[in-house]
Amino acid sequence: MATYSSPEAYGKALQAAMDKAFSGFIQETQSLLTQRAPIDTGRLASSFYISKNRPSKNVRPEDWAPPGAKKQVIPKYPRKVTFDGSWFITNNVPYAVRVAKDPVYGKNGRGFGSEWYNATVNLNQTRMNAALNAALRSL
Amino acid sequence: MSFANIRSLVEVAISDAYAGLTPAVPVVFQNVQEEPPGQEYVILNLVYPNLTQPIICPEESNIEVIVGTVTLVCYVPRAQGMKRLEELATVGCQTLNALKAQPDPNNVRFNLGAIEGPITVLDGDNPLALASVTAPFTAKG
Repeated sequence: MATYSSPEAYGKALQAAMDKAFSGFIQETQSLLTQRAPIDTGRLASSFYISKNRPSKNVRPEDWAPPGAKKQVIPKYPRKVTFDGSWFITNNVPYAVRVAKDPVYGKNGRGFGSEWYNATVNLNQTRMNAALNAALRSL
Repeated sequence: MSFANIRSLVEVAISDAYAGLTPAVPVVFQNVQEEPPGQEYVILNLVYPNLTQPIICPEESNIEVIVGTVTLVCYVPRAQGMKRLEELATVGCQTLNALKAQPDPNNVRFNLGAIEGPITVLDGDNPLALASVTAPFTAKG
């Protein structure tokens, strides 16, 4: 176990560890949603945007790629993800909710079939707790 | 570890609960039929994203901790109000929530996590409206 020269030094190390763990959790969630979403053009899979304090309005354009192209690009969050504020992962493709929640439309999910979305977000709490616990143990 | 026993516990309880409604509502199970049974029905899905947790032990590397996701998707005809849709979702939530105390011949222990929903999807030109409820669970059996 590390030793710290002052409470402030411990506070800084704690903040850095939480930031790193939370950033990993957020980006892993974005990545899981992207890789598990059904794919044809890739517009839906490529439209999971990370944002802080308010939901993103971004979306890939309708002509993102031709049918069957499976063009998959994860949108990069341009700043640092930190363990404060409210964080969102938003998908503004018009049919996103239907594909996430209706098994008829989401049946081609890559991993867990039509449950691709529920199986990912239902375990968010478990995955986040594991990441934060690991960060705390590393101090 | 028996996925069949866990699935059986959930499917029997859900099937019985919706059969008891007036009119009875058919439940569609995974890998059973592709065609929807009419205008009002429920789809039940179970998946298992995690099965074990690592432990320090001379004989085994893991202990069984089955973590799954259960989802009910309720369909009713569109543009006829929310009453029936929310009734179906409520029955599903109550039934899933009561599974912890449900007597089971296979001694499956089932613990439901926080329920997300009902999330409704009413837009688009689909003739059916839907409400989805989903929750993580841990089970042993």
